[in-house]
Amino acid sequence: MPELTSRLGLALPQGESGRDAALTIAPEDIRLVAERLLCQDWFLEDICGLDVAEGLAVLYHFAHWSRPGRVVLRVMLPRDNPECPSIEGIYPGAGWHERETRDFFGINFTGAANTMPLLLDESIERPPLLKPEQARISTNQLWPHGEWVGPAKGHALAEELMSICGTGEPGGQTGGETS
Amino acid sequence: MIAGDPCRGLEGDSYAQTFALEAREESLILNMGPQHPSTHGVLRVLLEMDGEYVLRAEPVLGYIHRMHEAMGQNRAYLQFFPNMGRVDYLHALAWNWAWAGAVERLAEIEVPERAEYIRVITTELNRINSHLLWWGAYLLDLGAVTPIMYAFEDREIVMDILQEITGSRLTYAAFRFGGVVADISPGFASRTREFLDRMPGRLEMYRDLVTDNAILRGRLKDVGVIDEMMARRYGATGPVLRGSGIAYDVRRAEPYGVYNRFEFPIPTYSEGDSLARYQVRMDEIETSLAIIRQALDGLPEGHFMLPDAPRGKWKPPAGESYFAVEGARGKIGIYLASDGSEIPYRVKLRSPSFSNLSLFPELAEGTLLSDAVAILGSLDLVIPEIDR
Repeated sequence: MPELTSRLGLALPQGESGRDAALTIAPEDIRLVAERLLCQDWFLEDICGLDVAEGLAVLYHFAHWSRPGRVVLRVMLPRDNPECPSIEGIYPGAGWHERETRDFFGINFTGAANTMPLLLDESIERPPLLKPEQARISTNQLWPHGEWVGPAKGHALAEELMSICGTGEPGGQTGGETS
Repeated sequence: MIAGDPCRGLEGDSYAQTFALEAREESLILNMGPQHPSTHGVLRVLLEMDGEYVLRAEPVLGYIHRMHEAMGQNRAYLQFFPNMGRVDYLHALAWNWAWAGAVERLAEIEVPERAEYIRVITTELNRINSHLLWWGAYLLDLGAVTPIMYAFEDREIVMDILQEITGSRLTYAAFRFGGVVADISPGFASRTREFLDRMPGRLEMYRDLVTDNAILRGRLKDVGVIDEMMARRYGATGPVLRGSGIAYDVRRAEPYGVYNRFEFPIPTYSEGDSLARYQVRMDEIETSLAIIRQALDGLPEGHFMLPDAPRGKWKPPAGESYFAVEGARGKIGIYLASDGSEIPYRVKLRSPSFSNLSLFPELAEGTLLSDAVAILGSLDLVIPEIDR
């Protein structure tokens, strides 16, 4: 079961952190979780790449028209072969966000219909937002332990998303990054 | 290719070539933009046409891409404010607010009440200006040349007012962490009130002159209908979403600043067509006027800037934050990650036009080319914001 973390203070008043739940999920679960979020009427705000010491992270920000809060999905990818399934088939609006993330971070979104560069020239050698090694910081610094607790027990949405993770191929059972 | 082939060189760049791969026989590939009046600057759209009808459309972006996100990662926090005015030059203050808010949330900086009110007043004035420019330019797209002259007459007044306390007329960088750059001057309030009194009459004239015009309505009605599901799948926000009947406004849904103190309606129209989006924006000008009036009436005394606000090269704590505001085009969001140094670790700019435009290929399918122009304009695109 992938490690899922969620904010302890889920009932905190809105506006304290800008998010309600942040879940770290394995790349192979992203489509399942995105599907479930679409069924519950969440919309995709953006997809954001992030270069950290542990590898490349992809952050998916979801918001809702009538429910307050923001759901953040975090996917950690290895630096040498950053590959993540595309959610374009579920959220077509994700297509451009993924192409942009590919331009900026060199992350390959598998299954996307269009892999042409969106904003940058094709001939750019090194994705511009990758950090030099000495500049990278650890996720522990970015997402401090004190702020997060283990499995997101007690939060209905987090529990539901957690329950559908790791049900696919056996590879999904190996677990994600521990932040 | 045959030497001397008259079509030589017309096959286009790799985008056009890739696009043409899926083209049907006997269809025409049309390249619209990046220098086309109705693409508002530097948007390029590849179109596959069957006569006058669009079979397929694909926007090609990046012509005004400036890598603002990388710029955010090579300068001090405070130095990023001028960039915000250049991401979206039409609603610069909303972007100012998004950046200020993201940093304030990260570093837990409190904003004095008076500053929050000034932010509301200036941002709403800026929103009116953005909608007015959209209105004029959109009608220009549709073939009406006069309205933009009227719109600019009103815009000039707002620009004069805003110049007084921001120091600039378009690319504002007027917010600071913990407040705003200058207090409201004595002349500002009275001139703003004069503008508030002037606008309802002007809007009535616009309604008589343009909105109720049968030709305009004929061109916009039932053109480019976005339904709820499409809006959700593409993450549409702002007037584009509210034109599809969804009363989602960040000022209400994720209240920031002092917006929860004001009474204002969220205009929606359920038709989802270009006319609905047009009407939402016209109504929103009135909404902004109402908010400004309430904010001026309730303006509290106090600081316009937190006395011990961070200045110059300053280090916020490590961590991350996300802050969203309602811009003239929809939800502006900034994700900020900090490593605790003087320079941001990661800045992600979520621009509303980016998501709003991404639904265009689906929307344009099967429409007339002239309707595709009407649809593009109804999305209220600001290309620098899309390309960032």
